[in-house]
Amino acid sequence: MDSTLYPHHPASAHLDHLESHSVFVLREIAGECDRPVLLFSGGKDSAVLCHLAQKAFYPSPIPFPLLQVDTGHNFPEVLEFRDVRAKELDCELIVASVQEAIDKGLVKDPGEGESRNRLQSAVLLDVIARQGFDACIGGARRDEDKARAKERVVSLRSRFGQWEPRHQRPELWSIYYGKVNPGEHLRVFPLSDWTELDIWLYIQREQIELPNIYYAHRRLVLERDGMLLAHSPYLTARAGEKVFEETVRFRTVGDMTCTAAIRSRAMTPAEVIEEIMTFQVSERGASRADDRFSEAAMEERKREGYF
Amino acid sequence: MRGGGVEVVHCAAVGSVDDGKSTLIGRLLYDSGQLAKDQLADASRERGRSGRFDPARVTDGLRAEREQGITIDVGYRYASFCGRRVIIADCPGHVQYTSNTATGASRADVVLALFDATRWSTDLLTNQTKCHLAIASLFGVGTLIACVNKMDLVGWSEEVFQSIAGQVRAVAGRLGINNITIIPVSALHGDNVVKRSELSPFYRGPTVAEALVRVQTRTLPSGTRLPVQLALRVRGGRQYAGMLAGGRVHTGQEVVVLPSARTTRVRSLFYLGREVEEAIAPASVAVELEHDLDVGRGDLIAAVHDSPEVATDLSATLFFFSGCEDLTARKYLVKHTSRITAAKISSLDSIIDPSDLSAAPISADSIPANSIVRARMELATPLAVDNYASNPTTGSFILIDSSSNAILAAGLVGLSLEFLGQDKNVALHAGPPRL
Repeated sequence: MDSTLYPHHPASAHLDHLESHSVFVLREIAGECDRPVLLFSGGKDSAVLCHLAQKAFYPSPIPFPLLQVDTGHNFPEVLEFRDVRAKELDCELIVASVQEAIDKGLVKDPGEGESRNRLQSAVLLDVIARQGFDACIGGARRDEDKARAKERVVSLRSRFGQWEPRHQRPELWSIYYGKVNPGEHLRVFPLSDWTELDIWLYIQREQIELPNIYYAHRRLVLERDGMLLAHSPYLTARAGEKVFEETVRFRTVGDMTCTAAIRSRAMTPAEVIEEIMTFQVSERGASRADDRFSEAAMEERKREGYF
Repeated sequence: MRGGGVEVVHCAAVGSVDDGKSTLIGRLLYDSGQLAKDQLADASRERGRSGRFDPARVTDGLRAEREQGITIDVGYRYASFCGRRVIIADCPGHVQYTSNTATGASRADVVLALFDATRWSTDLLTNQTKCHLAIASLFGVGTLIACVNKMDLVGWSEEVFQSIAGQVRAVAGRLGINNITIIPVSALHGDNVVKRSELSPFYRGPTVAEALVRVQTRTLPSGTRLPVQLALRVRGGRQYAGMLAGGRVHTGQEVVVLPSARTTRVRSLFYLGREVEEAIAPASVAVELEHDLDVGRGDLIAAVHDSPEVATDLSATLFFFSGCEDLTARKYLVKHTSRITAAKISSLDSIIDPSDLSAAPISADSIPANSIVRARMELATPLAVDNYASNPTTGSFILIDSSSNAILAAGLVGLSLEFLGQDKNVALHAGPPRL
């Protein structure tokens, strides 16, 4: 048993503050919302979020289900991790399938090799409405993107699932208000104040398991628009593109068709942290082909109901 | 972006439209090497083409903001200077977005304010800027870093700088902001932002980055305050989970549960699943109590001595985000820590001028947006409150429109309280109740 908590090891104190505040947010949502759900993609941020949720309610189980929107183009390693983790946490896992939505005609298939990222919004809003979720807890961070930097920790979505960045609820101190009108819902971002580096320092400290594609591995890739994309059944080489093997890892994890790998030899959290210190390109700039087309790409998608 | 173990500084950046606030923040990040290449390219783009680096574009993240060249809502930037983490809340300057400035200022340790040197002879301290400083003061931010910007456009005149510095000091001093650093800068060119400028030989103080590193963060109050968020079921009983809003809690400590005023002891204490002997604010903890009391969400566990007041009637300062009519006739909800209760405004005492915090009698029952009023509130259920000045967590609340769920105002618990009758000391020292 530890005798005291603070002051800690100095590098750890900052993580303790972040951790305590995120747990506070999770507990507020559990206490105030009727039917929250935790968006669990299997990526590193949502893995951290699950870890925090486990701590927040320990020894009770996490009091809400997990939800993943499966584009049908996800990394198999990530899907496997998702299933194993959900079982370990003893949580109900709801998978909303973009492929099913395409088959039912709810959304339109953008075609081979095209990102299904944007389709996720419609599928997510559909499952929110069907299941009556009033709060979706996600792992987005403000340091990821300029539009995300404008987010509240607890952010209201209209009856149409839309984000109205010009009319956000004031968010004073750490008072988070969890009530909504019928049809509206909340998006909750307990990791708002965490940076990419904080996430990795925490993964290292807490020894949080991640899908292995976050660490260096050999993979068949192809280069497109200056990015290394994984060669897969969903993404094949166009004329003039060569498929080659490279030692890579992924900084973020999403749809296989739009998530780029980086050349890396980092095999452990410590090596990843060392690597992050030298990065000159932001996380999304390095790994998300879908955000590079327009300056306001993220804002547009967020307005439509994206995570 | 660098890791470190030092306390995080929360900074609210404020200023009137066109004072150059977004430019300054962009410059702070750029000159300290904290802008990624792709973010830099993004901030150098004009209508899709590459152009000159415009520091202001680093923070204005919404399409409407870039189109209009203004800041509409708070944007957060994460930086570090000399190993110290700084979270910068970039607040809007427009009057109509003042509530967003309040959102940014409520968590701040320091206000970074901009003043336009080219406007020194006319209306340097616009009402909007005074209003921002007043909000900061109201929320208890005692430290100000004032940047006299656009010094390049006034030929780096020492006279201009000193004159503005005098005005800023006078206004801030009247508002009770006493820890003031005033810096001559050119945000556009980066003078005295991160790098010391040779153009201001008359100035020997810190750069903006240096001043941020030196900020003393707010000290947390010492009296034990644990607002209960949830009761967690465990074998053999319950644990009460919450984030410490003041002081420390330890095993064996004698505590009182409010508003019921039952006393008991902390049997065991957990920090996120790990058993510990002591925890200090702002840790998220769970406690087991010796007696099987009825404790639930919204209750407050506090030190037996130095406990907060329990009130159903309190005096508060309300900062209204939107205009409101029939103030004393409407029904509200109050959210205070983790408790929501129905409330009414029983009377309006005075209206406070947001530019200098002076009070005047109030006659009307309706007010425009951004009004600050002193009022008496009547609560449906008792709340355990402190004065805002002694504990910003247990001394603050939000006022909600019960029919629309809109958040109408920020509330700060004032000085005069009407207590819940009876003899409080008797209730607090009566020992554990018979079970």
